[in-house]
Amino acid sequence: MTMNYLRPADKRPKRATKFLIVVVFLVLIAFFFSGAIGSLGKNFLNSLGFPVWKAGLASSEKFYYLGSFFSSRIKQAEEIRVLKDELLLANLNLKEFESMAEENRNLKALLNREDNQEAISASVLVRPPQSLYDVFIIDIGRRHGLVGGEKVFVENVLLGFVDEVFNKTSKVKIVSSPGFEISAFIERVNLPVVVVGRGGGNFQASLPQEVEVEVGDFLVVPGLPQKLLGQIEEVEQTETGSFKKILFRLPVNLSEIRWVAVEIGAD
Amino acid sequence: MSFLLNKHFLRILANLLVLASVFILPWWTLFLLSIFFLFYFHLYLEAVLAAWFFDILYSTESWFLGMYWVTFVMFLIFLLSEFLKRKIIFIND
Repeated sequence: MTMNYLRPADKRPKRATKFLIVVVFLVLIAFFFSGAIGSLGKNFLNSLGFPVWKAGLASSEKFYYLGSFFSSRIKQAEEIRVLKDELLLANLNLKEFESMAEENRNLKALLNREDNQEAISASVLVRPPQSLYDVFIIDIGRRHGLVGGEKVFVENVLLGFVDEVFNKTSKVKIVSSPGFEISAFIERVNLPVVVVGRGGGNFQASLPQEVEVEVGDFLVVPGLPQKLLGQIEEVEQTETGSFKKILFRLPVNLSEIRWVAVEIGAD
Repeated sequence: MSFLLNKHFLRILANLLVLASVFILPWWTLFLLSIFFLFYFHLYLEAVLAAWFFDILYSTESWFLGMYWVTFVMFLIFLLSEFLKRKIIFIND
């Protein structure tokens, strides 16, 4: 006599579950050894990305001019008129700026404090919002003499510091990166303040209630005369609080920056 | 033209698109494309790999969770998508 028994339920983990366990394990290992893997990967991916970013930059310039080809003549004429007015105003301001710069150079020469820094220009390959993190990738690197820590400017605005240097490219950490702290002066009241980055070109600082600051006041970098860091956008205060929150913003639009100056030979 | 509908060919195309989003497109396209492909393809681990590439290229140490923030988030999305795919039942009439 034969007896039939029900087969016991298969308690073995399914193939997909096994696969997931292996994946979790591999990811944990990757996190554990992230330093070694990361440094190898960084050099490789940056050398891979360099021609792609260069090609992207070239094509974006081509598309920019292609777009203007299709815009209407009336709109273009209106833009030219506005730009001519702005140019006239800018030229007047430039004359004043040049005379002040000359005066500044003379004063520095009197005090034996001449600038000995050089700057090299760099093209921006990657900028926010392409990178979620507040970083730029620029097209100069180790072979151009960068070592890391150099200051990066756009016009007279301090934009950030060179964070990592690769052979042909460098990663620039923007001063408004979340959590990044930097000392500054509020120019009009000559008040030292530590500002903390909030991302996207924004900073914040806390000041006592009695300090008189206004929207539009400029923030300058100590030791770097005539170099701006930001401008006050908003002042938040409560009647009962002893501090007020000051919100600053970089005076440039991060997504429109195409060229930067990297200061080399700084003391 | 049937090779265009081949799932392996589609997966390679998807990988190229995701890789392009790492190098030349805004960061949010990486998330959008990855979430779509995570549900479209079986065990789409390439999304986590792409996020890791993204972190290696652009991240700085100061961020929360160190420099692998996007990888961590993408891995969570990967696990969530695999869990949801098993719960979702498609009925074909």
